[in-house]
Amino acid sequence: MNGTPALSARNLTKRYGPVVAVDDFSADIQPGEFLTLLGPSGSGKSTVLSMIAGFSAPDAGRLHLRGQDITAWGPEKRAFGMVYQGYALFPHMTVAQNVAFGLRMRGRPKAQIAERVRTVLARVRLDGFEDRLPRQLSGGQQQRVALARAIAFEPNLLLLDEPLSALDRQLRSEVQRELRELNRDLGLTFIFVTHDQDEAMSLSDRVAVMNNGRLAQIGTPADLYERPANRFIAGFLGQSNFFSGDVEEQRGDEVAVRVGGLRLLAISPERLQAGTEVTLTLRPERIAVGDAARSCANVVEGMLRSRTYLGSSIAIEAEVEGIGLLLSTAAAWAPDGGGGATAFGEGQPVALGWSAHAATLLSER
Amino acid sequence: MGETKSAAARTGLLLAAPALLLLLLFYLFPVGRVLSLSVLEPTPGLGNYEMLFTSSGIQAVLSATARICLITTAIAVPLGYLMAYVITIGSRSMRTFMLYGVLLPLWVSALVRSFVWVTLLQRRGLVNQFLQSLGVIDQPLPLIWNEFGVIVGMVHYMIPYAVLPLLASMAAIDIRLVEAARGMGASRGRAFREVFLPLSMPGIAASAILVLILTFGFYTTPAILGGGRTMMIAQYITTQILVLPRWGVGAMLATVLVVVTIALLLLLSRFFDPSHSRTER
Repeated sequence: MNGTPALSARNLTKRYGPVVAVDDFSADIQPGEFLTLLGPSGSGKSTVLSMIAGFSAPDAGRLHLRGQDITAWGPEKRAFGMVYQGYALFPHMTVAQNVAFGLRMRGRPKAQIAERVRTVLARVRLDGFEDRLPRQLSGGQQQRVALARAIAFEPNLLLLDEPLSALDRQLRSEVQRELRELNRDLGLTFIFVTHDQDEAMSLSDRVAVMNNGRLAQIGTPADLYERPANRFIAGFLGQSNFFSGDVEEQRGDEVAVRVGGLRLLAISPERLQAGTEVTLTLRPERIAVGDAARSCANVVEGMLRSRTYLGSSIAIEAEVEGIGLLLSTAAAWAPDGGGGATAFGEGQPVALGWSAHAATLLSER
Repeated sequence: MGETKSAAARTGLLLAAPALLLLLLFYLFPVGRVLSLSVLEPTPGLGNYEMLFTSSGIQAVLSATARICLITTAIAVPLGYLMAYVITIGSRSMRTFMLYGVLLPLWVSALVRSFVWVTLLQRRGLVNQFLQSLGVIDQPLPLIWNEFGVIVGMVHYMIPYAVLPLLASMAAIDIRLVEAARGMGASRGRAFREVFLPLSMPGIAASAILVLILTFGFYTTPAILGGGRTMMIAQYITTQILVLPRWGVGAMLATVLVVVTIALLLLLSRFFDPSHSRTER
């Protein structure tokens, strides 16, 4: 990537007694980027955010803001906007006072503060709510006040700690769109923390996935989904089928893997020795079912165990000898007007197939 | 609907009846009897209450009581605030340790604690001897048998009562609000003044009123540490009833005490509204 990163984390480590909350976290965040820290609870993502914000000091590692070392700076000097889970609005201040707080702390003149508060509240469509108290607002409105408060003083960075978790589904997608727009319009760098995979995928330029205090993989949503670096990523982002096997031979990019009694084809740009133990990961939606499976490079026969109707798709679990249960999702509605995968009945034999490109090879068991 | 509701209310009243009856019989009735003496003894009328405006002795006792109680409150609440704050923001082990430190004195009787202060503050007490041995003072300081001694003893006694409502109020403050203020450029002091302090105001008010109410009724501590020279209302009432005996004057002052306490309690109840201090989510 180009230029000086907006924020650069180098080998950040945080311990709480014997527990290592964050282990050797490094990442560069580009100006204007929307970066999401994604991970299950306890993965260390909130600790990373807290270290970036300056609320907890790292035990090791450095933080650089546009090339300048800010590791020793207190939170007030870093001047990062922050939106908290549950918003953390000041309950004893009006909406306008909440939004003005950061500007007032910077000693801006009164007239300028009033002007800026008006502009920012209009930006989040809350003009007219200046004199309300936070408790008089709905959840969505409070969330927008929190956002307005965080961007009012034109911070270097905007940190968002699971800001959408308290909102219902519909409001959530609305706020997600607003966040994207803000990120684009203001050119402000966003660091967003969430445990929601879909949210991370749909919002971010890049996603940093954390697990057990470590950075498991960082990349664009497509990178992570198409080319997971390890089993954790493949299982955490969306669903995957995993098969353990040994490499039989490699011809060009194409690798033949022995899984149980089956010989499965996959693609690997890497050179793999025959006999190497690998894990094959396969996304359920890349598996064709029924007649469509016959023309694929890999075809297996299975017994249909369960069929779950999900509206837009149907999840099918089939028992395949030598592999075990294979999960696939198929369209519930075929383009020719037929019933799609609804045609398959439970307990019946079914063919499943996928191309060599569909599977990803991981060199770990 | 209305019928079932009133039936439920009747059942509730019936269940509460024994307790209410007991209260009425053994508490409200005798208290009412004693207080009624203030308008019956020695002759029916408001004569006793006139003394509030005419008797310089009673006025002196009342003003001394008010002064001592207000000074005690003004010292105990800030000290309590400091302790509650340290307990609130402190580490887990620190919190437990300090909480015991605050609560332990509650289990030691006021009598014992007063005599402990006597040994510390008297003319040949530890404090005077220490200061004299250092050469800070020539003559022992009059630390006891005056208002100073009474206030020292009362502040000490009142600290736990000042701390507890403050602790409850501070526990309800979302500490991330202070973090949020810091993140927006407020220094530690500024974040405290602008966010934590205003949010703990209900706790301060509750603590101050509670301490004030409790100090009005103090008897043992002023009796011992005041040495008879500093007379507060409770002690004065005792003298009126047990020594003289002037039941009417004693009952009148008791009535005044009860009325002031009830008024303060009403004020106090306003600050225990949880919606005041909770963070909205």
